[in-house]
Amino acid sequence: MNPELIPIRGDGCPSRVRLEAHSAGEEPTLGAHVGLCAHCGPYVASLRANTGAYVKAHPPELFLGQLSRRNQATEEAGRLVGGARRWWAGVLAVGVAAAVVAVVLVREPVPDSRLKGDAFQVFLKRGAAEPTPVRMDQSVEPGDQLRFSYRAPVAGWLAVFELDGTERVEVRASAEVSAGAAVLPGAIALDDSAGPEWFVAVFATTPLDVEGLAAQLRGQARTPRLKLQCGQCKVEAVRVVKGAP
Amino acid sequence: MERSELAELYTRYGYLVHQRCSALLRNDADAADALQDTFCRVQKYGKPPGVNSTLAWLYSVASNCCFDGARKRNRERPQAEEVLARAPGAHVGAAGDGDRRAVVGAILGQFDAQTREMGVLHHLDGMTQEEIAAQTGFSRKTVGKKLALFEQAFKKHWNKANGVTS
Repeated sequence: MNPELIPIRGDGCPSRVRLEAHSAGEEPTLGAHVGLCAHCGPYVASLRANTGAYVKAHPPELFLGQLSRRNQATEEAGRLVGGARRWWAGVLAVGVAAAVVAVVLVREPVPDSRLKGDAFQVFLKRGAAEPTPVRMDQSVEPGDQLRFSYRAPVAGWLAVFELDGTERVEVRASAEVSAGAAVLPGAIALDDSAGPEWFVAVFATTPLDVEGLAAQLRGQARTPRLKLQCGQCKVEAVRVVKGAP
Repeated sequence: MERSELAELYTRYGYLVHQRCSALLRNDADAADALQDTFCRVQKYGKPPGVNSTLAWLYSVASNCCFDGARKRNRERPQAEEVLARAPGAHVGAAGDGDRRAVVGAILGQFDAQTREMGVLHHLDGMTQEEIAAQTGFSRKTVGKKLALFEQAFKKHWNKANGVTS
């Protein structure tokens, strides 16, 4: 392989970004060059073939549905956390809290805090390995990725919260869901702070008070069993312990 | 932006934008998220007036989404490079192109916004120094200096990744 930083481009060839634009229907004047050029012709052809295959595998309707759910979740999250960005302070606080929590975890084994059922699943993806379900109090490492799935018994409303050791709560999903199992959009990649982290799924057949639930979760990061008052809702929680690799 | 318009944009440009995000983030799941972020912003703000190339505009939005997302997640190496090398389209263009793009994505976070932009224009968009100077308004000499810094970091990272000792 060539480590030199020389773009693959023949003499007189347009830049790669122009070829990519051409493959999408822009820059029609490049057609004559592309039709004759041994560098550009195959490149544009492969882009068009890949675009077709990609759209077939990821249809626009599916993508637009994901966008709608994401917009809804973002609006909920925005209302919840406002513009607060205390990330660095959070890292510092988590580092301090981690030591305390680690001692607590070692000295006092906690019971399984999965509250009801097994509809909520957290999956761990590490490197090239296949995703695996996360167990309660499983150790995870910086760079690990987590995804969530939920099997709703009937159509309803679902919210997934992340509660970290600094008592910061983030809404990872908030949407109306259909009956059945579905992998929730988006993945979380773990940062390099250490300590425990809760993932809590709340499901109900009526719209959820997401802000109220988040407020209830704050202050419970170090409790062995989470408590939520939400009427007829179904709550499931999984905790992971973030540590150094 | 209307739903039908967004669907049309996605059909024409979704793959290309996803590839750009993959090159910058080196992680397929994150690239899929960044693609959604990009189109969320496009839906919210629409296409600004005076845009000549829709793709260039989408790439610009996508780059911002990628860097915002990477900063938020504060991580550098979420997925093994060999996994990315197997990703669909990773080798589009030429032999070694996917490897080069992967390393470019890995080192972009080390630089200031100007150098980063030039690195993207040169190594991902395939522009010459003269073209970058014309587009950014910097002199060709300045572009050359910035890219030399970029190249230094690239070679260091490349040699490390390939077990080459200098």
